[in-house]
Amino acid sequence: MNVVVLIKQVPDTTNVRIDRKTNNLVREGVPSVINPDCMHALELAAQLKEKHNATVYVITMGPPQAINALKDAISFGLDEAVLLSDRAFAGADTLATTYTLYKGIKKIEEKIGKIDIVLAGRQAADGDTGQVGPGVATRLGYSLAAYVTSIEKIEKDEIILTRRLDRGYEKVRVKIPCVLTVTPELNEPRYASLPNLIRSLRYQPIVWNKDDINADPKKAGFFGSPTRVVNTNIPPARKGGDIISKNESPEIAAQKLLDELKKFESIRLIEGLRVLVGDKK
Amino acid sequence: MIKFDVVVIGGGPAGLSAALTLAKSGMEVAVVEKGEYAGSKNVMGGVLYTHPLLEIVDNAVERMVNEKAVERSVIEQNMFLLGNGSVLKVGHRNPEWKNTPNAFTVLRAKFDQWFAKIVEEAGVLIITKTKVEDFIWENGKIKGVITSRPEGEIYCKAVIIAEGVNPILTMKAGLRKEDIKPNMAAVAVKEVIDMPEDIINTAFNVDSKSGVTYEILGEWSEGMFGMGFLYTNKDSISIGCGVLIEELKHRNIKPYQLLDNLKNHPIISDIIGEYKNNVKEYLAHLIPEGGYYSIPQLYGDNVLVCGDAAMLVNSIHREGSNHAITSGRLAAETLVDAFNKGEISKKTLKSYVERLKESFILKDLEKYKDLMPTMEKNQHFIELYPSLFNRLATRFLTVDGTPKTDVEWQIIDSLRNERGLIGLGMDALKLWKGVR
Ligand SMILES: Cc1cc2nc3c(=O)[nH]c(=O)nc-3n(C[C@H](O)[C@H](O)[C@H](O)COP(=O)(O)OP(=O)(O)OC[C@H]3O[C@@H](n4cnc5c(N)ncnc54)[C@H](O)[C@@H]3O)c2cc1C
Ligand SMILES: Cc1cc2nc3c(=O)[nH]c(=O)nc-3n(C[C@H](O)[C@H](O)[C@H](O)COP(=O)(O)OP(=O)(O)OC[C@H]3O[C@@H](n4cnc5c(N)ncnc54)[C@H](O)[C@@H]3O)c2cc1C
Repeated sequence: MNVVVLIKQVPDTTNVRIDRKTNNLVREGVPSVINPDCMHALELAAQLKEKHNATVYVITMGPPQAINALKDAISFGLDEAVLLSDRAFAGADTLATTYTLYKGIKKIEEKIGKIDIVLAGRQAADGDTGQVGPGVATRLGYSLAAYVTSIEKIEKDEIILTRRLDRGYEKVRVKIPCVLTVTPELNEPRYASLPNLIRSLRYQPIVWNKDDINADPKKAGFFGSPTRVVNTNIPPARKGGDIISKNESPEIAAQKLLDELKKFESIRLIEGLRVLVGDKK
Repeated sequence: MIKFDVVVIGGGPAGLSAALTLAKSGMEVAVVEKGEYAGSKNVMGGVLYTHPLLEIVDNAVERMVNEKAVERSVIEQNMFLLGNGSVLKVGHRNPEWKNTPNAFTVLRAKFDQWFAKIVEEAGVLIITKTKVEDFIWENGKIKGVITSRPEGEIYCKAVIIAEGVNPILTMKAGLRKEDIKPNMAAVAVKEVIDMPEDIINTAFNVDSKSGVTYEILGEWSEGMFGMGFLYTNKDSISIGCGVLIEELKHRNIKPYQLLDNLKNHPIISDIIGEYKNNVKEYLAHLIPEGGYYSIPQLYGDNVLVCGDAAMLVNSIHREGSNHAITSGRLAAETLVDAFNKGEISKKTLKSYVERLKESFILKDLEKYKDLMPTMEKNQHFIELYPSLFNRLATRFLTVDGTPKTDVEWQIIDSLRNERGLIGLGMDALKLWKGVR
């Protein structure tokens, strides 16, 4: 079984601040990490390696410092990691991103044979579109299961799994080859073993440029991206709630809360209905 | 099985210095660091002296400056005695330090990462996000370490403990009987306050490469013995203070209350002005203050302790990182000699202590060994003198038509009333004995 995991390096969102004057992310000095959702894809890949003896490649498109994310990914005990990096890939929207990743996957196929399963995170903590996994599936012509929450069974040519919908869950059979995008519910990423960690610290990822993957510069990066960012907005800062009672007895606090609530029409309506229905005393 | 010649526990200045020295002699070294990266959890004021680095890193000063590992070269150092709303100060400025830097202000997260990179370049493997939890023992000798990771054993021929102020593994190695006591460590809190580069340059009268330091005694510490500090970074300042845990416990005061006192003192408040609330980072850490008497057994059969773990800090002179770097190097050099002799045992590692005695480290710690106990026993050193000296200075410098002879008598009278001339003489003697 051959598996490719797509990972993205993102700013550590626990550290991200937004400059409220310019509406830009303050990226300076913010450390990068593997996109949180991708951690669950890596964990699944590690399990596929253990249970199904899969050969696993990790791939990312990004700037040279994305090497660090790839090294971290190797600590899950996976086989190889590939960085797709070239000026020609810069400024990509999701269409161009999936093109480059697709070409990278094709190149991996040349080395290890047909890829059976491609794993991606549900969405990226910064870009947040959730389009990359589905886009890669389309380009590869693979079946797609997005928002995977659990995997029941992996058979020779299909996987039985559960995916999350807006409301509830759906159990489906997915034909292999396939692309799965996974949610945090799927599993708990491991704390790497020391031998795997040491291997990852010493590991040097493979780096491919546009010529290595035979990418058409017109389809990759800025020139391959029909989308233009016209404007970005952030929701206004949330106002803190009102405190209606401070250091008062529970009785007074409750009374004040009730008075506040009664200002809402829906609650007044219920009050009114009570007259009709009668109190339950 | 994972094997190295030497495992170093802790990626602070002591551990990194030891690892670098070992690697330069061709040894296979792993540093195990529990933090996210070297320096991620470490705190310092921080004034970093250049001398110990020059011994182990080629072109250390140029590299530190060019690679932005340090903030500003210290060209002026001041001692402030804060009185009630006033200050008595002594300082020294020497622009020559621009050409031959003596010390730099640093932010540890940056400096330690730089140092770690140099150490990695020398071939050391730094294993981060991994904690050493115990030792592997065989026939009463340490054979390796057990880390927090699955399959986490590392076997080695010797271990250097550079775990910092909490001597957990030093105790497990049998080199220290009991944990540090509340009178052996200070809690220090520190804030990094954003302040634009040009404002710092104007406020402290320096250019962008140069910086100043203030050590601050007196009013803010509510009578407790503690050291406050304010150092200039590139575009921020570090301000903080430290007081013995015992005194804080005894007085039931929280460290941040003291830091607030310091920041709100009119003299300090004037310096940092409106930037007071631009707090970018808040940090807290322990500083070993036990000095000479708290030093553990420094070596065992195939184990050595260095840096804060060995309590090698001269708190009077806020020197810790230089002791850490130097003791790390000396521990490593001792080990290299032992490897060359083919015998790693108490016998061959004993010379570590001799090396420390020959260096400034134990000489200085011995010199000051009684100063802290003297200060602790004589509360009035801190309670009385800073404010008294401030009042005397004000009296001396206020010109109001009183003849100078009368002013002098007024001063002598206040000294007599507030401390007594014999008391004064005794204090001078005690202080002299403390630093002799
Ligand atoms: C209009 C527009 C313009 C943009 N312009 C730029 C720009 O100029 N410069 C720039 O750097 N970015 C730019 N981006 C961002 C970039 O296109 C997206 O970040 C990228 O396409 C991935 O989309 P996403 O972040 O929404 O990922 P999602 O689709 O939300 O990510 C889901 C999963 O896809 C996989 N994945 C996502 N990205 C990668 C990747 N790079 N390598 C491997 N796997 C991946 C991961 O498994 C991830 O968990 C732009 C985005 C948009 C929408
Ligand atoms: C507020 C403050 C101000 C100071 N100001 C100055 C100053 O201006 N100048 C000066 O020279 N000194 C100063 N010092 C002292 C100086 O910071 C220390 O002396 C110095 O950091 C000691 O270095 P070290 O390597 O021994 O310990 P540390 O720097 O504490 O490093 C120990 C390392 O070991 C790691 N570690 C601990 N246990 C384990 C484990 N079990 N497994 C793996 N890793 C572990 C820790 O994460 C840490 O990275 C100051 C200290 C403080 C707190």
